[in-house]
Amino acid sequence: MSEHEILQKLAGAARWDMPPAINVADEVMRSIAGARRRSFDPAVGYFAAATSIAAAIVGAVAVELWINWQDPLLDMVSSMTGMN
Amino acid sequence: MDDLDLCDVQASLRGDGDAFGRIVRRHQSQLSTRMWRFTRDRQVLEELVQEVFVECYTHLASFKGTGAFSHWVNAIATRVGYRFWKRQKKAAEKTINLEEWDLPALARQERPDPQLAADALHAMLSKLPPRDRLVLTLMYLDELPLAQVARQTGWSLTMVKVQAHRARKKLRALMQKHGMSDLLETQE
Repeated sequence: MSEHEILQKLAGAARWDMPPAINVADEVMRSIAGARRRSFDPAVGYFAAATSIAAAIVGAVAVELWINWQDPLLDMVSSMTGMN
Repeated sequence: MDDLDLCDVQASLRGDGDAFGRIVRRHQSQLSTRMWRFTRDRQVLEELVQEVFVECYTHLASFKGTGAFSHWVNAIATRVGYRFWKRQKKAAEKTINLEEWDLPALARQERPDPQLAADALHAMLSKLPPRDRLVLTLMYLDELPLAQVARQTGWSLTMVKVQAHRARKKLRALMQKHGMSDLLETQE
Protein backbone atom coordinates (compact mmCIF):
# COMPACT_ATOMS: atom_id res chain seq x y z
CA MET A 1 0.00 0.00 0.00
CA SER A 2 1.47 3.38 -0.96
CA GLU A 3 1.02 6.62 0.96
CA HIS A 4 -1.23 7.68 -1.91
CA GLU A 5 -3.55 4.72 -1.30
CA ILE A 6 -3.56 5.26 2.47
CA LEU A 7 -4.42 8.91 1.91
CA GLN A 8 -7.17 7.97 -0.51
CA LYS A 9 -8.65 5.48 1.92
CA LEU A 10 -8.63 7.78 4.96
CA ALA A 11 -9.79 10.80 2.95
CA GLY A 12 -12.56 8.73 1.37
CA ALA A 13 -13.89 7.88 4.82
CA ALA A 14 -13.21 11.34 6.28
CA ARG A 15 -15.29 12.98 3.56
CA TRP A 16 -18.39 11.48 5.20
CA ASP A 17 -17.62 13.18 8.49
CA MET A 18 -20.02 16.11 8.45
CA PRO A 19 -19.36 19.34 10.36
CA PRO A 20 -21.63 20.42 13.23
CA ALA A 21 -24.56 22.56 12.06
CA ILE A 22 -23.75 26.21 12.47
CA ASN A 23 -25.57 29.47 11.81
CA VAL A 24 -23.27 32.44 11.57
CA ALA A 25 -25.50 34.80 9.58
CA ASP A 26 -26.20 37.18 12.49
CA GLU A 27 -22.57 37.17 13.62
CA VAL A 28 -21.34 37.90 10.11
CA MET A 29 -23.77 40.80 9.70
CA ARG A 30 -22.67 42.20 13.07
CA SER A 31 -18.99 41.92 12.07
CA ILE A 32 -19.71 43.67 8.78
CA ALA A 33 -21.57 46.48 10.57
CA GLY A 34 -18.59 46.79 12.96
CA ALA A 35 -16.16 46.89 10.04
CA ARG A 36 -18.24 49.63 8.40
CA ARG A 37 -18.13 51.66 11.61
CA ARG A 38 -14.40 51.12 11.94
CA SER A 39 -13.86 52.43 8.41
CA PHE A 40 -14.94 55.86 9.76
CA ASP A 41 -12.58 55.54 12.71
CA PRO A 42 -9.47 57.14 11.14
CA ALA A 43 -11.32 60.45 10.60
CA VAL A 44 -12.77 60.29 14.12
CA GLY A 45 -9.32 59.36 15.46
CA TYR A 46 -7.59 62.30 13.78
CA PHE A 47 -10.25 64.70 15.05
CA ALA A 48 -9.94 63.31 18.59
CA ALA A 49 -6.14 63.57 18.49
CA ALA A 50 -6.26 67.16 17.21
CA THR A 51 -8.79 68.09 19.91
CA SER A 52 -6.64 66.48 22.62
CA ILE A 53 -3.52 68.35 21.48
CA ALA A 54 -5.41 71.66 21.34
CA ALA A 55 -6.85 71.04 24.81
CA ALA A 56 -3.38 70.20 26.15
CA ILE A 57 -1.93 73.44 24.73
CA VAL A 58 -4.78 75.54 26.17
CA GLY A 59 -4.34 73.76 29.52
CA ALA A 60 -0.57 74.38 29.58
CA VAL A 61 -1.00 78.06 28.75
CA ALA A 62 -3.68 78.40 31.44
CA VAL A 63 -1.46 76.76 34.06
CA GLU A 64 1.48 78.97 33.07
CA LEU A 65 -0.65 82.11 33.35
CA TRP A 66 -1.99 80.97 36.73
CA ILE A 67 1.54 80.32 38.07
CA ASN A 68 2.83 83.66 36.80
CA TRP A 69 -0.13 85.47 38.28
CA GLN A 70 0.51 83.91 41.67
CA ASP A 71 4.31 84.26 41.63
CA PRO A 72 5.25 86.53 44.60
CA LEU A 73 8.49 87.64 42.95
CA LEU A 74 6.57 88.91 39.99
CA ASP A 75 4.15 90.64 42.38
CA MET A 76 7.11 92.30 44.13
CA VAL A 77 8.74 93.37 40.88
CA SER A 78 5.52 94.78 39.61
CA SER A 79 4.93 96.68 42.89
CA MET A 80 8.50 98.08 42.80
CA THR A 81 8.20 99.19 39.26
CA GLY A 82 4.78 100.53 39.93
CA MET A 83 3.37 98.45 37.13
CA ASN A 84 0.66 96.96 39.23
CA MET B 1 -28.26 29.65 -7.47
CA ASP B 2 -25.66 31.55 -9.52
CA ASP B 3 -28.29 34.04 -10.72
CA LEU B 4 -29.51 34.53 -7.16
CA ASP B 5 -25.94 35.05 -5.99
CA LEU B 6 -25.19 37.56 -8.71
CA CYS B 7 -28.40 39.49 -7.95
CA ASP B 8 -27.60 39.58 -4.23
CA VAL B 9 -23.97 40.58 -4.85
CA GLN B 10 -25.14 43.49 -7.01
CA ALA B 11 -27.83 44.43 -4.49
CA SER B 12 -25.31 44.33 -1.66
CA LEU B 13 -22.93 46.56 -3.60
CA ARG B 14 -25.81 49.00 -4.15
CA GLY B 15 -26.24 49.14 -0.36
CA ASP B 16 -29.02 46.58 0.25
CA GLY B 17 -28.27 45.57 3.86
CA ASP B 18 -30.16 42.24 3.66
CA ALA B 19 -28.64 40.98 0.43
CA PHE B 20 -25.37 39.77 1.92
CA GLY B 21 -27.29 38.04 4.75
CA ARG B 22 -29.12 36.01 2.11
CA ILE B 23 -25.77 35.03 0.56
CA VAL B 24 -24.46 33.92 3.96
CA ARG B 25 -27.55 31.82 4.70
CA ARG B 26 -27.35 30.19 1.26
CA HIS B 27 -23.65 29.28 1.44
CA GLN B 28 -22.84 28.74 5.12
CA SER B 29 -23.59 25.01 5.12
CA GLN B 30 -21.38 24.27 2.10
CA LEU B 31 -18.70 26.56 3.46
CA SER B 32 -18.70 24.95 6.89
CA THR B 33 -18.15 21.55 5.24
CA ARG B 34 -15.16 23.04 3.47
CA MET B 35 -13.73 24.74 6.56
CA TRP B 36 -14.18 21.51 8.55
CA ARG B 37 -11.07 20.34 6.65
CA PHE B 38 -9.10 23.09 8.37
CA THR B 39 -10.14 22.49 11.97
CA ARG B 40 -11.82 19.90 14.18
CA ASP B 41 -13.04 22.46 16.69
CA ARG B 42 -16.61 23.75 16.41
CA GLN B 43 -15.82 27.20 17.80
CA VAL B 44 -12.85 27.64 15.48
CA LEU B 45 -15.03 26.42 12.61
CA GLU B 46 -17.57 29.18 13.31
CA GLU B 47 -14.80 31.78 13.49
CA LEU B 48 -13.27 30.61 10.23
CA VAL B 49 -16.60 30.60 8.39
CA GLN B 50 -17.28 34.12 9.67
CA GLU B 51 -13.83 35.26 8.61
CA VAL B 52 -14.40 33.93 5.11
CA PHE B 53 -17.73 35.75 4.77
CA VAL B 54 -16.33 39.01 6.10
CA GLU B 55 -13.46 38.74 3.63
CA CYS B 56 -15.94 38.00 0.85
CA TYR B 57 -17.89 41.11 1.81
CA THR B 58 -14.86 43.37 1.82
CA HIS B 59 -13.81 42.09 -1.63
CA LEU B 60 -17.30 41.81 -3.07
CA ALA B 61 -16.65 44.39 -5.76
CA SER B 62 -13.94 42.13 -7.21
CA PHE B 63 -16.50 39.37 -7.98
CA LYS B 64 -17.24 39.85 -11.66
CA GLY B 65 -19.78 37.06 -12.05
CA THR B 66 -17.85 35.31 -14.81
CA GLY B 67 -17.56 32.09 -12.76
CA ALA B 68 -19.68 30.49 -10.05
CA PHE B 69 -19.93 32.47 -6.83
CA SER B 70 -19.20 29.30 -4.83
CA HIS B 71 -15.84 28.91 -6.62
CA TRP B 72 -14.97 32.48 -5.73
CA VAL B 73 -15.96 31.88 -2.09
CA ASN B 74 -13.96 28.65 -2.01
CA ALA B 75 -10.81 30.41 -3.22
CA ILE B 76 -11.18 32.89 -0.36
CA ALA B 77 -11.91 30.03 2.04
CA THR B 78 -8.68 28.32 0.96
CA ARG B 79 -6.69 31.47 1.70
CA VAL B 80 -8.36 31.94 5.09
CA GLY B 81 -7.79 28.28 6.03
CA TYR B 82 -4.17 28.41 4.91
CA ARG B 83 -3.56 31.58 6.92
CA PHE B 84 -5.12 29.87 9.96
CA TRP B 85 -2.82 26.87 9.60
CA LYS B 86 0.19 29.12 9.33
CA ARG B 87 -0.85 30.94 12.52
CA GLN B 88 -1.37 27.79 14.54
CA LYS B 89 1.44 25.65 13.12
CA LYS B 90 3.61 25.73 16.23
CA ALA B 91 0.69 25.11 18.58
CA ALA B 92 -0.40 22.09 16.50
CA GLU B 93 3.10 20.62 16.59
CA LYS B 94 3.04 20.67 20.38
CA THR B 95 -0.55 19.69 21.13
CA ILE B 96 -1.41 17.06 18.51
CA ASN B 97 -0.06 13.66 19.37
CA LEU B 98 -0.12 11.03 16.62
CA GLU B 99 0.29 8.20 19.11
CA GLU B 100 -3.37 8.69 20.08
CA TRP B 101 -4.42 7.01 16.84
CA ASP B 102 -3.69 3.48 15.77
CA LEU B 103 -2.94 4.61 12.25
CA PRO B 104 -1.87 1.21 10.83
CA ALA B 105 -5.06 -0.44 12.11
CA LEU B 106 -7.18 2.38 10.76
CA ALA B 107 -5.57 2.20 7.34
CA ARG B 108 -6.06 -1.60 7.23
CA GLN B 109 -9.80 -1.37 7.90
CA GLU B 110 -12.12 -1.97 4.98
CA ARG B 111 -14.36 0.97 5.93
CA PRO B 112 -12.79 3.19 8.55
CA ASP B 113 -15.13 5.19 10.79
CA PRO B 114 -15.56 8.64 9.14
CA GLN B 115 -14.97 10.67 12.28
CA LEU B 116 -11.96 8.60 13.34
CA ALA B 117 -10.51 8.76 9.84
CA ALA B 118 -11.05 12.54 9.70
CA ASP B 119 -9.47 13.05 13.12
CA ALA B 120 -6.48 10.84 12.28
CA LEU B 121 -5.98 12.44 8.89
CA HIS B 122 -6.23 15.90 10.41
CA ALA B 123 -3.64 14.97 13.04
CA MET B 124 -1.31 13.39 10.52
CA LEU B 125 -1.47 16.28 8.05
CA SER B 126 -1.02 18.82 10.85
CA LYS B 127 2.54 17.54 11.20
CA LEU B 128 3.35 18.75 7.69
CA PRO B 129 4.19 22.33 6.71
CA PRO B 130 1.03 24.30 5.79
CA ARG B 131 1.77 24.30 2.05
CA ASP B 132 2.08 20.50 1.95
CA ARG B 133 -0.97 20.14 4.10
CA LEU B 134 -2.98 22.42 1.84
CA VAL B 135 -2.15 20.66 -1.39
CA LEU B 136 -2.95 17.22 0.06
CA THR B 137 -6.18 18.46 1.63
CA LEU B 138 -7.41 19.98 -1.61
CA MET B 139 -6.40 16.94 -3.65
CA TYR B 140 -7.57 14.15 -1.37
CA LEU B 141 -10.25 15.52 0.95
CA ASP B 142 -11.83 17.96 -1.49
CA GLU B 143 -11.02 15.75 -4.48
CA LEU B 144 -10.16 18.75 -6.62
CA PRO B 145 -8.44 18.19 -9.95
CA LEU B 146 -4.94 19.69 -10.22
CA ALA B 147 -6.11 22.60 -12.37
CA GLN B 148 -8.64 23.61 -9.74
CA VAL B 149 -6.06 23.25 -6.95
CA ALA B 150 -3.91 25.65 -8.97
CA ARG B 151 -6.78 28.13 -9.29
CA GLN B 152 -7.65 27.94 -5.59
CA THR B 153 -4.08 28.38 -4.39
CA GLY B 154 -2.88 30.77 -7.07
CA TRP B 155 0.04 28.43 -7.81
CA SER B 156 1.03 27.24 -11.28
CA LEU B 157 0.08 23.72 -12.36
CA THR B 158 3.73 22.64 -12.25
CA MET B 159 4.07 24.09 -8.79
CA VAL B 160 1.02 22.12 -7.60
CA LYS B 161 2.49 18.88 -8.99
CA VAL B 162 5.89 19.51 -7.38
CA GLN B 163 4.29 20.49 -4.07
CA ALA B 164 2.08 17.40 -4.08
CA HIS B 165 5.04 15.13 -4.82
CA ARG B 166 7.10 16.65 -2.00
CA ALA B 167 4.16 16.54 0.39
CA ARG B 168 3.53 12.84 -0.25
CA LYS B 169 7.22 12.12 0.25
CA LYS B 170 7.18 13.88 3.62
CA LEU B 171 3.98 12.10 4.57
CA ARG B 172 5.55 8.75 3.73
CA ALA B 173 8.48 9.55 6.02
CA LEU B 174 6.02 10.56 8.73
CA MET B 175 4.04 7.33 8.33
CA GLN B 176 7.22 5.29 8.61
CA LYS B 177 8.15 7.16 11.75
CA HIS B 178 4.77 6.37 13.29
CA GLY B 179 4.63 2.63 12.92
CA MET B 180 3.25 2.33 9.42
CA SER B 181 6.43 0.95 7.86
CA ASP B 182 5.00 -2.57 7.72
CA LEU B 183 1.90 -1.35 5.98
CA LEU B 184 3.88 0.70 3.48
CA GLU B 185 6.44 -2.00 2.73
CA THR B 186 4.63 -5.32 2.91
CA GLN B 187 1.70 -4.37 0.75
CA GLU B 188 3.67 -2.51 -1.90
